[in-house]
Amino acid sequence: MNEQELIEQLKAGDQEAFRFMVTSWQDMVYNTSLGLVQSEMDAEDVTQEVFVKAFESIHGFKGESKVSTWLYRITVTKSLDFLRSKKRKKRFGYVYSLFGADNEPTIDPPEFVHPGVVAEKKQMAAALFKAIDQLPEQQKVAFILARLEGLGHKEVSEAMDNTVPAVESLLQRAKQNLKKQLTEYYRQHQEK
Amino acid sequence: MKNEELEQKWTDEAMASIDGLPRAEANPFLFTRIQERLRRQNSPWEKAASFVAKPAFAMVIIIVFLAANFFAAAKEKQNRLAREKQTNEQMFASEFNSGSSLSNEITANPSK
Repeated sequence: MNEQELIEQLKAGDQEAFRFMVTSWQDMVYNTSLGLVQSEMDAEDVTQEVFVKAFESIHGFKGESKVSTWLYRITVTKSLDFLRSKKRKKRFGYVYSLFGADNEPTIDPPEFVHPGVVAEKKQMAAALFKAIDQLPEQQKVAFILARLEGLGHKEVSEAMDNTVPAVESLLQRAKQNLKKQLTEYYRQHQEK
Repeated sequence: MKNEELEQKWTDEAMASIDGLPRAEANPFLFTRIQERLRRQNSPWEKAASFVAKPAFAMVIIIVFLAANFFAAAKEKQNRLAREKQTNEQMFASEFNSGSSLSNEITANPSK
Protein backbone atom coordinates (compact mmCIF):
# COMPACT_ATOMS: atom_id res chain seq x y z
CA MET A 1 0.00 0.00 0.00
CA ASN A 2 1.51 3.36 -0.98
CA GLU A 3 1.02 6.49 1.13
CA GLN A 4 -1.61 8.05 -1.16
CA GLU A 5 -3.77 4.90 -0.98
CA LEU A 6 -3.29 4.76 2.77
CA ILE A 7 -4.41 8.37 3.19
CA GLU A 8 -7.50 7.80 1.04
CA GLN A 9 -8.44 4.70 3.05
CA LEU A 10 -7.88 6.55 6.31
CA LYS A 11 -10.10 9.37 5.11
CA ALA A 12 -12.77 6.80 4.34
CA GLY A 13 -12.55 5.64 7.98
CA ASP A 14 -10.99 2.25 7.22
CA GLN A 15 -9.97 0.61 10.52
CA GLU A 16 -7.48 -1.73 8.84
CA ALA A 17 -5.69 1.25 7.26
CA PHE A 18 -5.55 2.88 10.69
CA ARG A 19 -4.11 -0.30 12.19
CA PHE A 20 -1.51 -0.35 9.40
CA MET A 21 -0.56 3.27 10.13
CA VAL A 22 -0.22 2.63 13.88
CA THR A 23 1.88 -0.52 13.50
CA SER A 24 4.09 1.05 10.82
CA TRP A 25 4.98 4.21 12.74
CA GLN A 26 4.37 3.40 16.41
CA ASP A 27 8.05 2.86 17.27
CA MET A 28 9.08 6.05 15.49
CA VAL A 29 6.48 8.09 17.39
CA TYR A 30 7.20 6.37 20.72
CA ASN A 31 10.99 6.75 20.41
CA THR A 32 10.75 10.46 19.56
CA SER A 33 8.31 11.12 22.36
CA LEU A 34 10.44 9.10 24.80
CA GLY A 35 13.47 11.25 23.98
CA LEU A 36 11.49 14.41 24.63
CA VAL A 37 9.41 13.51 27.70
CA GLN A 38 11.96 11.08 29.19
CA SER A 39 9.46 8.75 30.84
CA GLU A 40 8.21 5.48 29.39
CA MET A 41 4.70 5.83 30.81
CA ASP A 42 4.30 9.41 29.65
CA ALA A 43 5.76 8.59 26.22
CA GLU A 44 3.16 5.83 25.78
CA ASP A 45 0.41 8.24 26.71
CA VAL A 46 1.72 10.84 24.25
CA THR A 47 2.01 8.15 21.53
CA GLN A 48 -1.66 7.27 21.99
CA GLU A 49 -2.59 10.95 21.79
CA VAL A 50 -0.56 11.36 18.60
CA PHE A 51 -2.43 8.58 16.79
CA VAL A 52 -5.80 9.73 18.10
CA LYS A 53 -4.99 13.23 16.80
CA ALA A 54 -3.80 11.78 13.47
CA PHE A 55 -7.03 9.77 13.14
CA GLU A 56 -9.18 12.80 13.92
CA SER A 57 -7.32 15.24 11.68
CA ILE A 58 -6.65 13.00 8.67
CA HIS A 59 -9.19 14.99 6.63
CA GLY A 60 -6.99 18.07 7.01
CA PHE A 61 -3.88 16.24 5.77
CA LYS A 62 -3.25 17.33 2.19
CA GLY A 63 -0.47 14.86 1.46
CA GLU A 64 2.06 17.63 0.73
CA SER A 65 4.56 16.01 3.11
CA LYS A 66 5.28 12.38 3.94
CA VAL A 67 3.09 10.68 6.56
CA SER A 68 6.17 10.23 8.76
CA THR A 69 6.94 13.99 8.63
CA TRP A 70 3.32 14.76 9.52
CA LEU A 71 3.47 12.30 12.43
CA TYR A 72 6.79 13.77 13.63
CA ARG A 73 5.13 17.21 13.73
CA ILE A 74 2.19 15.93 15.78
CA THR A 75 4.57 14.04 18.09
CA VAL A 76 6.72 17.11 18.72
CA THR A 77 3.65 19.29 19.38
CA LYS A 78 2.03 16.76 21.73
CA SER A 79 5.29 16.07 23.60
CA LEU A 80 6.01 19.78 24.10
CA ASP A 81 2.39 20.36 25.21
CA PHE A 82 2.82 17.54 27.71
CA LEU A 83 6.09 19.01 29.05
CA ARG A 84 4.53 22.48 29.38
CA SER A 85 1.51 21.15 31.26
CA LYS A 86 3.83 19.12 33.53
CA LYS A 87 5.85 22.27 34.27
CA ARG A 88 2.64 24.21 35.00
CA LYS A 89 1.44 21.51 37.39
CA LYS A 90 4.82 21.48 39.13
CA ARG A 91 4.71 25.27 39.54
CA PHE A 92 1.12 25.11 40.81
CA GLY A 93 2.11 22.33 43.23
CA TYR A 94 4.92 24.52 44.57
CA VAL A 95 2.59 27.50 45.09
CA TYR A 96 0.04 25.14 46.69
CA SER A 97 2.68 23.78 49.08
CA LEU A 98 3.64 27.35 50.10
CA PHE A 99 0.19 27.66 51.64
CA GLY A 100 0.85 24.55 53.69
CA ALA A 101 -1.77 22.42 51.99
CA ASP A 102 0.66 19.74 50.92
CA ASN A 103 3.37 18.85 53.37
CA GLU A 104 4.27 15.53 51.84
CA PRO A 105 7.79 15.37 50.44
CA THR A 106 7.91 15.33 46.63
CA ILE A 107 9.53 12.30 45.06
CA ASP A 108 11.93 13.08 42.25
CA PRO A 109 11.66 10.62 39.35
CA PRO A 110 14.73 8.41 38.88
CA GLU A 111 17.29 9.38 36.22
CA PHE A 112 16.01 8.52 32.78
CA VAL A 113 17.97 6.06 30.70
CA HIS A 114 16.82 5.14 27.20
CA PRO A 115 16.02 1.39 27.06
CA GLY A 116 18.47 0.90 24.16
CA VAL A 117 21.54 2.06 26.10
CA VAL A 118 24.07 -0.69 26.92
CA ALA A 119 24.98 -1.24 30.58
CA GLU A 120 28.50 0.26 30.47
CA LYS A 121 27.23 3.53 28.97
CA LYS A 122 24.26 3.95 31.28
CA GLN A 123 25.80 6.58 33.58
CA MET A 124 27.02 8.70 30.67
CA ALA A 125 23.72 8.39 28.80
CA ALA A 126 21.79 9.35 31.96
CA ALA A 127 23.98 12.46 32.31
CA LEU A 128 23.40 13.30 28.65
CA PHE A 129 19.61 12.91 28.91
CA LYS A 130 19.61 15.07 32.03
CA ALA A 131 21.49 17.73 30.07
CA ILE A 132 19.11 17.35 27.08
CA ASP A 133 16.20 17.97 29.46
CA GLN A 134 17.73 21.35 30.37
CA LEU A 135 17.95 22.53 26.74
CA PRO A 136 15.55 25.15 25.32
CA GLU A 137 12.58 23.52 23.52
CA GLN A 138 13.68 24.03 19.92
CA GLN A 139 17.26 22.89 20.55
CA LYS A 140 15.94 19.83 22.36
CA VAL A 141 13.63 18.89 19.49
CA ALA A 142 16.35 19.36 16.85
CA PHE A 143 18.85 17.31 18.87
CA ILE A 144 16.42 14.43 19.56
CA LEU A 145 15.30 14.21 15.93
CA ALA A 146 18.86 14.34 14.61
CA ARG A 147 20.65 12.15 17.15
CA LEU A 148 18.03 9.82 18.60
CA GLU A 149 15.95 9.39 15.45
CA GLY A 150 18.95 9.76 13.12
CA LEU A 151 17.24 12.22 10.75
CA GLY A 152 19.23 14.35 8.32
CA HIS A 153 19.18 18.13 8.63
CA LYS A 154 16.65 18.46 5.78
CA GLU A 155 14.26 15.96 7.38
CA VAL A 156 14.62 17.69 10.76
CA SER A 157 13.85 21.05 9.12
CA GLU A 158 10.71 19.57 7.50
CA ALA A 159 9.56 18.02 10.76
CA MET A 160 10.16 21.28 12.62
CA ASP A 161 8.75 23.43 9.80
CA ASN A 162 12.00 25.39 9.75
CA THR A 163 14.89 26.07 7.36
CA VAL A 164 17.99 23.89 7.11
CA PRO A 165 20.39 26.67 8.25
CA ALA A 166 18.13 27.35 11.26
CA VAL A 167 18.24 23.66 12.20
CA GLU A 168 22.04 23.60 11.80
CA SER A 169 22.31 26.60 14.09
CA LEU A 170 19.99 24.97 16.64
CA LEU A 171 22.07 21.79 16.61
CA GLN A 172 25.31 23.73 16.98
CA ARG A 173 23.98 25.62 20.00
CA ALA A 174 22.52 22.42 21.47
CA LYS A 175 25.91 20.70 21.28
CA GLN A 176 27.67 23.65 22.91
CA ASN A 177 25.13 23.76 25.74
CA LEU A 178 25.27 20.01 26.26
CA LYS A 179 29.08 20.00 26.41
CA LYS A 180 29.00 22.81 28.96
CA GLN A 181 26.51 20.96 31.14
CA LEU A 182 28.30 17.64 30.84
CA THR A 183 31.59 19.26 31.86
CA GLU A 184 29.88 20.71 34.95
CA TYR A 185 28.36 17.32 35.73
CA TYR A 186 31.79 15.65 35.42
CA ARG A 187 33.43 18.24 37.71
CA GLN A 188 30.71 17.91 40.34
CA HIS A 189 31.06 14.13 40.38
CA GLN A 190 34.87 14.33 40.56
CA GLU A 191 34.63 16.56 43.62
CA LYS A 192 32.42 14.05 45.47
CA MET B 1 46.60 11.90 31.37
CA LYS B 2 45.85 15.42 32.55
CA ASN B 3 42.56 16.18 34.29
CA GLU B 4 41.40 18.47 31.46
CA GLU B 5 42.04 15.76 28.90
CA LEU B 6 40.11 13.24 31.03
CA GLU B 7 37.26 15.72 31.30
CA GLN B 8 37.24 16.28 27.54
CA LYS B 9 37.37 12.53 26.88
CA TRP B 10 34.47 11.83 29.26
CA THR B 11 32.37 14.64 27.74
CA ASP B 12 32.98 13.36 24.19
CA GLU B 13 32.12 9.81 25.23
CA ALA B 14 28.94 11.00 26.97
CA MET B 15 27.94 12.94 23.84
CA ALA B 16 28.43 9.80 21.78
CA SER B 17 26.68 7.50 24.28
CA ILE B 18 23.39 7.62 22.36
CA ASP B 19 24.90 7.18 18.90
CA GLY B 20 23.42 4.24 17.02
CA LEU B 21 20.85 3.47 19.69
CA PRO B 22 18.12 1.09 18.54
CA ARG B 23 14.64 2.59 18.55
CA ALA B 24 12.66 2.00 21.73
CA GLU B 25 9.71 -0.28 21.00
CA ALA B 26 6.18 0.80 21.73
CA ASN B 27 3.75 -1.35 23.71
CA PRO B 28 2.52 -4.27 21.53
CA PHE B 29 -1.06 -3.52 22.64
CA LEU B 30 -0.84 0.11 21.58
CA PHE B 31 -3.42 -0.19 18.80
CA THR B 32 -6.01 -1.73 21.16
CA ARG B 33 -5.41 1.05 23.67
CA ILE B 34 -5.79 3.73 20.99
CA GLN B 35 -9.07 2.16 19.86
CA GLU B 36 -10.30 2.12 23.46
CA ARG B 37 -9.30 5.76 23.82
CA LEU B 38 -11.16 6.70 20.64
CA ARG B 39 -14.25 4.79 21.80
CA ARG B 40 -14.18 6.56 25.18
CA GLN B 41 -13.68 9.95 23.53
CA ASN B 42 -16.70 9.41 21.28
CA SER B 43 -19.06 8.27 24.04
CA PRO B 44 -21.65 10.99 24.90
CA TRP B 45 -20.93 10.69 28.65
CA GLU B 46 -17.24 11.21 28.08
CA LYS B 47 -17.96 14.20 25.85
CA ALA B 48 -20.23 15.71 28.50
CA ALA B 49 -17.64 15.06 31.21
CA SER B 50 -14.84 16.63 29.19
CA PHE B 51 -17.09 19.63 28.43
CA VAL B 52 -17.88 20.10 32.12
CA ALA B 53 -14.19 19.72 33.02
CA LYS B 54 -13.17 22.60 30.76
CA PRO B 55 -11.89 25.69 32.64
CA ALA B 56 -14.07 27.91 30.42
CA PHE B 57 -17.17 26.03 31.63
CA ALA B 58 -16.10 26.52 35.27
CA MET B 59 -15.57 30.23 34.58
CA VAL B 60 -19.04 30.55 33.03
CA ILE B 61 -20.58 28.78 36.05
CA ILE B 62 -18.75 31.11 38.46
CA ILE B 63 -19.80 34.20 36.48
CA VAL B 64 -23.44 33.03 36.36
CA PHE B 65 -23.35 32.30 40.11
CA LEU B 66 -21.88 35.72 40.92
CA ALA B 67 -24.32 37.48 38.58
CA ALA B 68 -27.29 35.64 40.17
CA ASN B 69 -26.06 36.65 43.62
CA PHE B 70 -25.61 40.23 42.52
CA PHE B 71 -29.12 40.42 41.05
CA ALA B 72 -30.64 38.74 44.12
CA ALA B 73 -28.86 41.23 46.40
CA ALA B 74 -29.91 44.18 44.22
CA LYS B 75 -33.52 42.97 44.16
CA GLU B 76 -33.52 42.46 47.93
CA LYS B 77 -32.16 46.00 48.43
CA GLN B 78 -34.87 47.37 46.14
CA ASN B 79 -37.58 45.49 48.07
CA ARG B 80 -36.18 46.66 51.41
CA LEU B 81 -36.18 50.30 50.23
CA ALA B 82 -39.74 49.92 48.95
CA ARG B 83 -40.85 48.43 52.30
CA GLU B 84 -39.10 51.20 54.24
CA LYS B 85 -40.73 53.83 52.02
CA GLN B 86 -44.13 52.23 52.54
CA THR B 87 -43.64 52.08 56.31
CA ASN B 88 -42.57 55.73 56.40
CA GLU B 89 -45.57 56.72 54.35
CA GLN B 90 -47.89 54.75 56.63
CA MET B 91 -46.32 56.32 59.71
CA PHE B 92 -46.63 59.75 58.19
CA ALA B 93 -50.22 59.08 57.17
CA SER B 94 -51.20 57.84 60.61
CA GLU B 95 -49.46 60.80 62.24
CA PHE B 96 -51.17 63.16 59.81
CA ASN B 97 -54.54 61.52 60.51
CA SER B 98 -54.21 61.91 64.28
CA GLY B 99 -52.97 65.49 63.79
CA SER B 100 -55.86 66.36 61.50
CA SER B 101 -58.47 64.84 63.86
CA LEU B 102 -57.08 67.00 66.69
CA SER B 103 -57.29 70.13 64.52
CA ASN B 104 -60.85 69.11 63.56
CA GLU B 105 -61.76 68.85 67.21
CA ILE B 106 -60.21 72.27 67.84
CA THR B 107 -62.10 73.76 64.91
CA ALA B 108 -65.38 72.13 66.00
CA ASN B 109 -65.07 73.18 69.66
CA PRO B 110 -63.12 76.44 69.73
CA SER B 111 -64.28 77.19 73.37
CA LYS B 112 -62.34 74.17 74.76
